[in-house]
Amino acid sequence: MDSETKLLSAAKAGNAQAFERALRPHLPMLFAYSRAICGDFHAAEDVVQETSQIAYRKLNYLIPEADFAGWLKAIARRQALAARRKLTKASIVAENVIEKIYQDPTSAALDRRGEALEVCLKQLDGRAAEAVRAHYFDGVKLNELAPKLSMTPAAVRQMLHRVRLVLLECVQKRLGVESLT
Amino acid sequence: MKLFTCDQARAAVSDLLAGDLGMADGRSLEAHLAGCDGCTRAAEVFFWQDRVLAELTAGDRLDTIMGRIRAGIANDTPKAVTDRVRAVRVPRPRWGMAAAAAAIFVVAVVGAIAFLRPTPPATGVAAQPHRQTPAFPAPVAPANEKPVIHDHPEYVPPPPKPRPGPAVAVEQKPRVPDRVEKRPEPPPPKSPDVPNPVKQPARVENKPDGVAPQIDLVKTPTLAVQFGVAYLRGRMARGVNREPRGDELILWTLIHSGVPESDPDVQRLLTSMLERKLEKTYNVALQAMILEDLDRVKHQGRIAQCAQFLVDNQAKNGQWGYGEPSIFVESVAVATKPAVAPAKAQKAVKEFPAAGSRGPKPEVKTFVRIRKMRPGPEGGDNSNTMYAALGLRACADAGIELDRAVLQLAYEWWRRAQVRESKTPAYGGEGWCYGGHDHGHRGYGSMTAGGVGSLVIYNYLLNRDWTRDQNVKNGMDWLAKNFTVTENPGPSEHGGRPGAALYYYLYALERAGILYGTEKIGRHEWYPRGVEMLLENQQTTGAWASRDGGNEIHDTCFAILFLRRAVPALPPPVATK
Repeated sequence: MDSETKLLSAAKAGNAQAFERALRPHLPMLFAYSRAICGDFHAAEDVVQETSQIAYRKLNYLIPEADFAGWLKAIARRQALAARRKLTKASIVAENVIEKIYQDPTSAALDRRGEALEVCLKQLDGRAAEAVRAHYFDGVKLNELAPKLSMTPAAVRQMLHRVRLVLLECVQKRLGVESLT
Repeated sequence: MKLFTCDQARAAVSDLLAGDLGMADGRSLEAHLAGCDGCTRAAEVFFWQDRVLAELTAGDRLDTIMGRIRAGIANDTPKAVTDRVRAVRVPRPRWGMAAAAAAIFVVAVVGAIAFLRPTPPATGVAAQPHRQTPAFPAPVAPANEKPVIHDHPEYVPPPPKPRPGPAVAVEQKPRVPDRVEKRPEPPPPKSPDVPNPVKQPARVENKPDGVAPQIDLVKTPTLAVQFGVAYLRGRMARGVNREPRGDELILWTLIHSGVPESDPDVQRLLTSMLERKLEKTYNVALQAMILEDLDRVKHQGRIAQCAQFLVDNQAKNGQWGYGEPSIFVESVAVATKPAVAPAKAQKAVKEFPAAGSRGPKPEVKTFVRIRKMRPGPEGGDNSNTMYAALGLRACADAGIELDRAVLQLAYEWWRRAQVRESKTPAYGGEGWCYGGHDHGHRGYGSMTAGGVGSLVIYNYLLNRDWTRDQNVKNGMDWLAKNFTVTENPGPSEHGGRPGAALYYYLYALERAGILYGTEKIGRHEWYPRGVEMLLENQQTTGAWASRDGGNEIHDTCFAILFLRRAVPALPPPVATK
């Protein structure tokens, strides 16, 4: 944190590189959070970009004792909600769950559970792996993905649901945690 | 609306994360999650998976994203994200315009009726409606202007909670006989248009210690509280309390009067409070106290939001003002369970467990750290500041970990703000007024009692022994030298008179006594004296009213809170050097 504080001090003095270095560790969380809110891969990338630019412009409003990641997250939230309003008129669902999962801005992929999930992910194969890769890592929408997999969108949806359950079981086995049910 | 089974709900969560859930199914899912802990936990797991996957994705694309950001910063020509999103702009009905037109029409009609209405006779009692004293302070004045302040009776008192830790040293039960021998005949109903005669508080002499005042058994604190609650319910039923910001004070009072959570009035106030945005310091502090008292585990998320609001609204000098909404509140997790649905309507007035008998509170198992996220204003006032202290204490009791710097700054403020009164021997000791020591005003009762209570709270939160705090001792000395229960002692500030804010002062006095852990302030038994005065001065309607102005509803709340010894005592102080 000390180094982040120093980087932010330098950034406030106009050092853009220092800002980039302070920002970089938080980008995955910002992307994931924005995607959870606005529900769109590409819009989430835009949200992250604009959040970063706003943060840089407003950096002098960041008080020293504030949590930088939390501050970024608050900006991203507003931008993501705005993006969502453009994409759909449906109100956000399970917002409380989202906020709870993202309460801790520390990257979830880097903790023990996150690492276990990454290992489990690598154990997927076949169309399941392909679907996860395309949907998550390339941002392909279900209705675009279905023809590529020679499946219906509903079948892809069901497959993704099963993949989540498989991943859940796999992580539980790796960590020895008790079943949800 | 379609009702989901658990399997359907979990599949719907998956569809939601896949970006393929319709609006109707979204509503069904939301409804299911609100009532199903198991599915909520399952949803949390799925969302966590989603977070990890998305973070891994971003990690893979970090250089690409960083490149876009770098280019954007270099050009500094930010383009609104929303412009770039392939938007399908959904035309929205222009309800706003229609509502505005309707509002203008209604106002015009009402105005015309009022204008054409014959003027009532000036001497008629019925022509004079209830006093309209705003219960909550006016909007915050600009920083460079001195706010015009009244000693607001808008504050709500503190709730009782058994804290984990050593046994509480202070005796919780009233020492005044509370047996009900006779039930007084309820007064005949009055027309709401007839003002209640405001009694002058009877002068209660400061009797020497050891001689407890004799209290008429017919007028007991329990009956007085029941009567007061009935008055509050009546006012609520008639919609007299049109100040929504005062709802928290009433709710706090009902809860401490023994009204169960399932009571319809409590449920209505609770639901409405939880649906409102966090906007003002008094309300937010009270909300934290209410939720902590009702169920600090179930409501921990909302309490954390209250903490974020309070922390973000701390002024640079350590005070609090009326407060402004903080966007950082929205990022704090909220409890996923809604308020319990009202059970059968109960006549709560008849249910009065003794103070502190709500039972043990649920153990806090998770802790939420809250950090200050934005700078506050330059300053505030000591009235808001004392309620912020009560709210922060409630947050801490609910497992919210607060920045030590925030607590220390607030502590330092109260120490610095204490008015040196060596040149004003008429009042002796050292007290507090509405502002700092350079506010140009001497200390007076309500602010001094509030200052003592606040300093004790910060000593407690900072793990210090408040009985060794010289500022606390000075404040207690001031209260002892100027002790009275018939007026708000000291030079009244802002042009008020001694009888103004009497009940606001009494409630602050109760907090000072209980938080400090003493039944005597100097040689004065503050509780029996206060009870005696309150029983003498309850009106036939069940209300209390300061004789020099105030809000009758809030005065009644303060009086009840005093009678119920509402503030939770602290465990004995930690011995420090």
